[in-house]
Amino acid sequence: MAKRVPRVGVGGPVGSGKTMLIEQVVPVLFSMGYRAGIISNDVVSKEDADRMRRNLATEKGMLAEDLVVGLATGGCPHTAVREDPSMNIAEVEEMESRHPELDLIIIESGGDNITTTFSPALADYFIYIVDVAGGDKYPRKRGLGIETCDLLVINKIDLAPHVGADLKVMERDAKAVRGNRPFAFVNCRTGEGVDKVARHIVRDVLFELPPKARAG
Amino acid sequence: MAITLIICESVIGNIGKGLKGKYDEMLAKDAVERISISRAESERLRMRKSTDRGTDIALSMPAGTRLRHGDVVSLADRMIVVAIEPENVAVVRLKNGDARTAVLVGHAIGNLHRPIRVEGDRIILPVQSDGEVEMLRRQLGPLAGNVDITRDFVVFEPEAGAHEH
Repeated sequence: MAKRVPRVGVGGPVGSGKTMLIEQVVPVLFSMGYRAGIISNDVVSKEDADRMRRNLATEKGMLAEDLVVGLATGGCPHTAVREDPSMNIAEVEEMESRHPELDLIIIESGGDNITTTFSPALADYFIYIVDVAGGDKYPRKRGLGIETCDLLVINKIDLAPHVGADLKVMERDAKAVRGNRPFAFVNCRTGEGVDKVARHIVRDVLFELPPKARAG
Repeated sequence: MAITLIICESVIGNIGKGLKGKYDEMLAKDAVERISISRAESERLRMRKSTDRGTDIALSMPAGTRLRHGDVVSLADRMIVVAIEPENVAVVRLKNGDARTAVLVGHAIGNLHRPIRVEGDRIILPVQSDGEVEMLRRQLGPLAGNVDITRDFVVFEPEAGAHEH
């Protein structure tokens, strides 16, 4: 049997930048030789998947078009990645069997609230993304996503001065809530900080092993 | 690349069962290292951790694995043992064998959608705060004479099949 492809879950509130983070991190991983597949959950549409397919597959040619799959989950977004992840697991397993050459599969949750988490049966690693415009009180207010994720990503740092958010406060609170587990400040519009997210994925999910294509 | 990384791909045994003798032997040689994981992580198949002595460990387990307290994931010159972190739990003790009380307690706890563990006359379930223990006390108030609710901080391993959602 082919080896199980590692799975990374990306969750966060509506508009926090889940799709943009994936659009930024996949090229960074690509430049290091790692090949990713993407499964994108949306409640109703498949807009996010279509956008990522156009950007990453059609225009940049970083992956085959069938490696960006959209899932319209219908109900609560967290149900599809936690309580009953069977629909997502089926997609992951199908992608894995069609593309054993993949180094990882990224699963994007539909936009949800602060209690999003991924079932360990679905994702090996959970990135939770919030944005500065939600207010600098965000990390302090906790919630399962912020508390339990493997990597907390705080996006849109360029907006901090415009929304009266203090990044120092967010940093202090993130550390207080999360202990020594990591967080990263990013700006997904410019790509600032995204290399740090990629490094965490390479270290903690891919174990710094060489990309499959290179390992031969 | 880290040269000292130990990749663990299966559970070799448990120090509470088959590997007890070996564990004592390795302990005497000061060759036991532990990785601490949370209960949530115990269901994960893939993660990178450091032992209490700083050894770099990559876990990549077969599908369907659930790590248990005391599982040995590597055994060579060192024994690497999994330790589940203790957590806050509520302990509901049924003070008599009354079936009506047992069913009502089971119903109330079931509605909380938590994993549980049953040990003798005690039902153990994870809680996040004192407030939750208070809420449980209020819910089970009418049964006060028949149940006893306390809080504890222990390694919690749920019953297999007692599905939470």
